[in-house]
Amino acid sequence: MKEETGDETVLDVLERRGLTRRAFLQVCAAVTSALALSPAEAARITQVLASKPRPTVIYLSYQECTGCLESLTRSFSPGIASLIFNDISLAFNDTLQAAAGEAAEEAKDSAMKKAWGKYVLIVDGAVPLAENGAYCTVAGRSAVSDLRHAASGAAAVVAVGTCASFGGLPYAAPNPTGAVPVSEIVRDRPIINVSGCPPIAEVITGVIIYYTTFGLPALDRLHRPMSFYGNSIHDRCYRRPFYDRGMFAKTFDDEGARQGWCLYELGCKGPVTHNACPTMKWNGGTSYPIESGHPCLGCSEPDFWDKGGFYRPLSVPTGHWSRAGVMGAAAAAGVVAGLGAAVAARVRQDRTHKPDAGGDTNQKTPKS
Amino acid sequence: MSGASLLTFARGPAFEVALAMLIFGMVWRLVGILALRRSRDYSEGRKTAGWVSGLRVIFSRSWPQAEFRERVLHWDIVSYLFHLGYAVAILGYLPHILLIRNLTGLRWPGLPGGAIAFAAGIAAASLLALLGHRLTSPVLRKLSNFDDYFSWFIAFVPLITGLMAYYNIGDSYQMVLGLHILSGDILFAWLPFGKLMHVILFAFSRGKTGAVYGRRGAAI
Amino acid sequence: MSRPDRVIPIHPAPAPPSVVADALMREIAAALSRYAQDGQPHVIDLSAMPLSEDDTQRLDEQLGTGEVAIEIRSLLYTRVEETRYAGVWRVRHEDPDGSMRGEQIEITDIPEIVRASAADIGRSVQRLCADRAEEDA
Repeated sequence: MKEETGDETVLDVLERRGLTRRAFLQVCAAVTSALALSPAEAARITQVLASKPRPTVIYLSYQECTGCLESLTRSFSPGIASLIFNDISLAFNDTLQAAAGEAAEEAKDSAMKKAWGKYVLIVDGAVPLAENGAYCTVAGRSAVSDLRHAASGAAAVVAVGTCASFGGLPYAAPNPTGAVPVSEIVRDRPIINVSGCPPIAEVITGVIIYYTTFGLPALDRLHRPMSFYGNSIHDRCYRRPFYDRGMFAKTFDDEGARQGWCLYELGCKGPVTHNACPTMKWNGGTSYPIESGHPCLGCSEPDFWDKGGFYRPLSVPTGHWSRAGVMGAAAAAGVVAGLGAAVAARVRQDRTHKPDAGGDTNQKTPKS
Repeated sequence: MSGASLLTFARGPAFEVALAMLIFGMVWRLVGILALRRSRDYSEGRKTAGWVSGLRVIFSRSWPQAEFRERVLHWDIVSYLFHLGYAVAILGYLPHILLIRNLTGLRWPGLPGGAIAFAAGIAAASLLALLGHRLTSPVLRKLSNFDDYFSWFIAFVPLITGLMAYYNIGDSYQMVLGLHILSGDILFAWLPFGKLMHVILFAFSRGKTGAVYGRRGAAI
Repeated sequence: MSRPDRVIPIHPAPAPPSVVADALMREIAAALSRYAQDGQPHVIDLSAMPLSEDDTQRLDEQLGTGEVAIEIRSLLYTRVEETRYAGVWRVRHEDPDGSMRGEQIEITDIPEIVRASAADIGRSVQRLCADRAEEDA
């Protein structure tokens, strides 16, 4: 965490630290590969990082479990996180910094004041609104007023994790704290949602670096970067051929599970989940949940806690009512209505045919 | 409404309501028909076991009579293609089987996705052909009412949205899947109240015809 | 309480077929002949490619090693190696902890990162003069 600010570029900072242009080219190469840039963007990165003032990044945490920050800092390449926080940008993060209490608040306020209107605000966690926001307070201030204030001086907001992006766990029914995602509170700033519980470390760093170098990336309908959230898990899943062939694991230890067949029947939400897990994988490219034999929970999608159960197949109704009750009541009502209709029909027949009693009742038969 | 919330709605409350309507409607119509007064047959039965011809007719009416064969056989084939394709797509696809297992506890092995898509494609093509036939044949057009067209539509929509979901057509898979399940819900809910009830009633009407005429000694 | 008979084997994702190495070699050949004609350098970033282990191995075999190897110890550790083809270089960047930070294939006479920049030389001139002055004093 540094105190200097102003219009320094990454190149200036490295020179000030006594490093040569080679160090700068190394940073450019690392950024290029972290973002998997296209050749055209890769050609521009040197010029961008040499000319653009490096941004201030302010990281605020509200209703969250710190799993996202864990994912970011304990990734298999922690170097890239330090690259962001030390070399590419100036940063404030109350969980990572050494300062605490009033000193921390002061550091945050002065960092915000110096870069007012220009900093990138990273928000981790949902924001509770019930009881005037009393469920989450930082330094005696409610999360909602803290966020409103911080967002009014931000150039853009990056919502890291499903809580900040879509409400996540705090937002799950019955939502006792009245939690809402960041987008419910910040409406006049560009928002990038980096969803996931937690998001993949390389996706978090990738989005932050991309924004600080090139600006707003292409976003999907839920404001997630297309480059990481453009495909569904199902589309890129190496077990997809088993789905297409109709080969499914039925339990967690049957032959299908051993053979690595599709986990749809065990509740996999891969078909409706957009994330980069199958291609970028976790823990330095080791594997991802499906590869470890567990169905996708759909953690990067809104309301993933409330979609009828992690182990209930996607095609099966979520049903909260008693199935037997519904069917029984419907059948009973059907019997009553049917008998009523039949009685009415008989009464009508009797009335019509009374004059010539004994005449054949001409009854309708249903057509086939 | 976003694709995700549509999907949640279709899988949740919409399905429950559709299932209740399906069961209510089925029971209502079946009880209502079976509890009607039977017409008395004053003639002496030529055959004692009328029900045997009743059973036979349930099956024998499944293909055209020799007299009409030349005129209707091709449309019968198209109709068969539709019914078989539809049945394979509904009963052979694992996500559908999981739904049936959830409701009834029964399960059976599924078919590969390619086979399902092929069956569904055939069903969709034949359904379109049958609509074309209904619209171009003057007799059929006179016989058709709203029920026919709505039932056609509500049978066709789940088929086409299911195919779209399978091939990932449309820009939101969740939306397409939500529409597919919702159209399935509407199909369930509508089924007992219109001509689609023939899935049950065909056996009763044919059986009744077979039994009555069989008893009277008609060659049927 | 370990039950080795109950261990469920996990089937890792199968490696993708090796097709990228061939495409890369074609791109390198085209870029090298372009560089020979009009001196247009070219950089291929390997981290953006879905390289399988097989691909990497085939690339290593086909490019081989040339006469020059340069180490750069700066913010990161960079190793620049000439391949068996003059004008084709492999540049690998690593963290101090040894994890890979990026890898490029450069088609040029000398990779940009090897050269001392004018700004750095300028600063060196100042530093050298200052050092000399100190020594003389």
